[in-house]
Amino acid sequence: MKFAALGPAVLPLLAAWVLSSRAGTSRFRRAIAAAADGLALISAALLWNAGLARSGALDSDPFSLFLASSVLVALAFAAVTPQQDVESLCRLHLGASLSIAAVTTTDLVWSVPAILLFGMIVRHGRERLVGFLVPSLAALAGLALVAASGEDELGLILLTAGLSAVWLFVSRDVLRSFPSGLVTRMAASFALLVAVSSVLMRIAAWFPTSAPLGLIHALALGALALGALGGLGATRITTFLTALALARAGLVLFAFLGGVHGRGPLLLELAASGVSLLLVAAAAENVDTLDEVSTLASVPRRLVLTLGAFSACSFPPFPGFVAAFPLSSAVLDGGHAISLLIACALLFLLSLGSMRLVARAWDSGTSRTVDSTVGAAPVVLAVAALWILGVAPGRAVEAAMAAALSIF
Amino acid sequence: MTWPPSLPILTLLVWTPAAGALVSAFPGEPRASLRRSLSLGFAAVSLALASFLALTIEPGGNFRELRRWIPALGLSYDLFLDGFGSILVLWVALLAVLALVSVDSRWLGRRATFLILLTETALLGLATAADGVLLLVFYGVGLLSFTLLPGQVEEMKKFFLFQSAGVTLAAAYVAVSYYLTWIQTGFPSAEIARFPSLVSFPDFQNRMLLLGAGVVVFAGPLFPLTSWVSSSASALATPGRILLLGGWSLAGSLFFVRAVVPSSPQSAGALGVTVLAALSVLYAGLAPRRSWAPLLVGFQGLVVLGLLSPTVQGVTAGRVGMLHLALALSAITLWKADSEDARGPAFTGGIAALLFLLPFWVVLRERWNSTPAVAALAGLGLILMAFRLVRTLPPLSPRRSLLLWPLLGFWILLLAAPSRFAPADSTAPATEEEE
Repeated sequence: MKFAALGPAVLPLLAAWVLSSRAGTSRFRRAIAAAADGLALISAALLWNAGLARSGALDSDPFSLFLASSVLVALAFAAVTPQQDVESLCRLHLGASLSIAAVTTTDLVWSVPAILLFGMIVRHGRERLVGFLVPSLAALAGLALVAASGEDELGLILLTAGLSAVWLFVSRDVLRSFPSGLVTRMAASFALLVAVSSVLMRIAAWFPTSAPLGLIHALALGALALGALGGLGATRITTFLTALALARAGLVLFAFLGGVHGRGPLLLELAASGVSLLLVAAAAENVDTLDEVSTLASVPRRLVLTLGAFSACSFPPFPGFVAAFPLSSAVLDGGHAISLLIACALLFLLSLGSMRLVARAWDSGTSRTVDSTVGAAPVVLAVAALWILGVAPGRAVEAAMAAALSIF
Repeated sequence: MTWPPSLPILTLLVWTPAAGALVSAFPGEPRASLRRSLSLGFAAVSLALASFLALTIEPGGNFRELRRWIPALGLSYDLFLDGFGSILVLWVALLAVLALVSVDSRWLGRRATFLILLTETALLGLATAADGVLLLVFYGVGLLSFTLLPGQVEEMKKFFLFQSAGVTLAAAYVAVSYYLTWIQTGFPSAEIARFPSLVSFPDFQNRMLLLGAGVVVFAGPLFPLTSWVSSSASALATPGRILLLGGWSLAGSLFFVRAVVPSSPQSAGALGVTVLAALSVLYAGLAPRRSWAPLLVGFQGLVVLGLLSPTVQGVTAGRVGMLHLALALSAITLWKADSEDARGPAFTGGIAALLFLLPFWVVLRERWNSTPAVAALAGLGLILMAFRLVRTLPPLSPRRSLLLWPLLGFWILLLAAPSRFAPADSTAPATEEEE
């Protein structure tokens, strides 16, 4: 059991090694990588059933396992989705291994550097390096202050702002200029979001009085507003996806306002975010602009796109919708009624942005010239997500609640 | 009523059209007649079940199915049917059959058939869901089905803009009620029957009424949010238009009558909504364009006037009015299907106007006792609306008159069963969960 605790973090490293080797065809290497990711998921499930295990700095408490599983699903999905560049997949696996290490360790001295290293690995080239380095240094300075004097408010503010900005800059760079398919880019952005969220959740749990909730509040509404407005104005798919990712990150941060009761819904919204963003990315692969969506002929592809786009705004009955009720109760309980009203309005705007994409996908007045379909993996993920997070989410809700109770 | 307890008759009723949607999606475009037969078969089964329920339900009785859905969040798969609901589901099932037979099979594509049947499931769910979150699930499914039905980008976006605003307000209403239940009882629940018993301050009750009324204002719609109605109706073929005007137009007021009105009918905010409803009726009479928007808005205004009436008779008339709205608009859709712009004999149109508008007289009479100015405003609108209806109805073709017979039968049924529309306290909270 002790070594099994290493599985979720180490197996993606093995996958990265296979992907970087020259043995066999790229398809073969991707299949091996997907198998390693699958094995890591199984080990996570076994650890969940076995209870708490610890190996070195890595924990296998339900909270860590829930988040690690979310990252692993994204990894496996990227590996089995066609048209993903092998080198980028390799980088993604390396980075995701660090992300899993960051969510499974309870030591900020390990998790924060792991996140920054992840950012360095998945970023491409030296462009906009300052945009990455400045928030990274801020996060490290915050970490040093917290490590030196414990519950240091300035340190926590620097840490929170730095990590959030790192996610923002890395996600924007990855989504716009990563030399790979959209799914790999989105999986990288999501894995980083999971890692950053886990650190912020631990900070909120460890330092309930001095955690910078005001800053998180502002960041949440700001990200949600930027994402919603960006979705309404975007004409390119990458811009649209960046806006969706930003809005989902804002929603996840918004759940922090719910305090202890908001943690379970936060985890559910995080899982729903991953699913929705990956599905939209898979369906929009090889499409440059929003208008090009109206040329897609494949019905499964358009259905996957619809499901992903509406999950992104937690529209009923799609994944993420049921979590909105305990989340809003927790936020109301925290005395943030006005913020909840604003968040509702912004989610409404986000749904209008999603509708721009969906309306083009189902426009009957255009000639549909692009016949390429979406493949089996997105369809399977869409059906599974609709079932597990939409139609019969009882088990997923219980798992998220259990995970939220076990933050150490 | 628990007949027979092992048979989930409400589930069968609600999900049969969805199963039909899936099955009828298989035959390709060349096999249109097979697809039509399949879809009609499933819609007919649903109609038979709805008829059975409407005929067998006892006065004051109800059917209920309660199962666990998400126990950790206190959400249930809870379907409930009382006398009013039994008439509603009968209407929805009849409407879906009418929509499917209103055009030849070659005009009914795979996508349209699928979406029509899915919409039927959503409407049946809206009429029967007794859990607020489950109701929103059906609301969302119906909205998406209707959004995708026209198939034109601008119409889809415009329809979605207004309707999703209504859904967002409905979701906010349920979310706040869910929170209040949690605070009051100590455990979470979105059971609609609990909403009226939530302890709240008058100020808060006022805001909740306005939030709930916002759903009707956007989704109904009421004046002045009408710009989507005519474009959406024009973009739809006859079956879709019948369902939009005769079925989906009930969605907002259904939410209002089931979740909002029992909680806070007489708060101060009701006056503002009442005035808006009266203005909607006046707009229906004065609007210069020959379009669907004034008719729909006028009828919705009369329904809202009735639902917010201070007397039981007025509320009952408002509930009857909901079905008259649906009946009238779907009948006019069928009437106008062949010749949208022709003008027929005033005599036939006059009888139709009398049939459809007469029941609303009760609403105005009840309203006159409490707010005479509002009643006078709405009365003027109603008279002008009747003239407008007489002027715009085209001659009736023999085929269309055949399709109007079931509607006439339903109208007679409405007159014969007034007791089913009276608001009752038959929706008490469940005390135990059935597995």
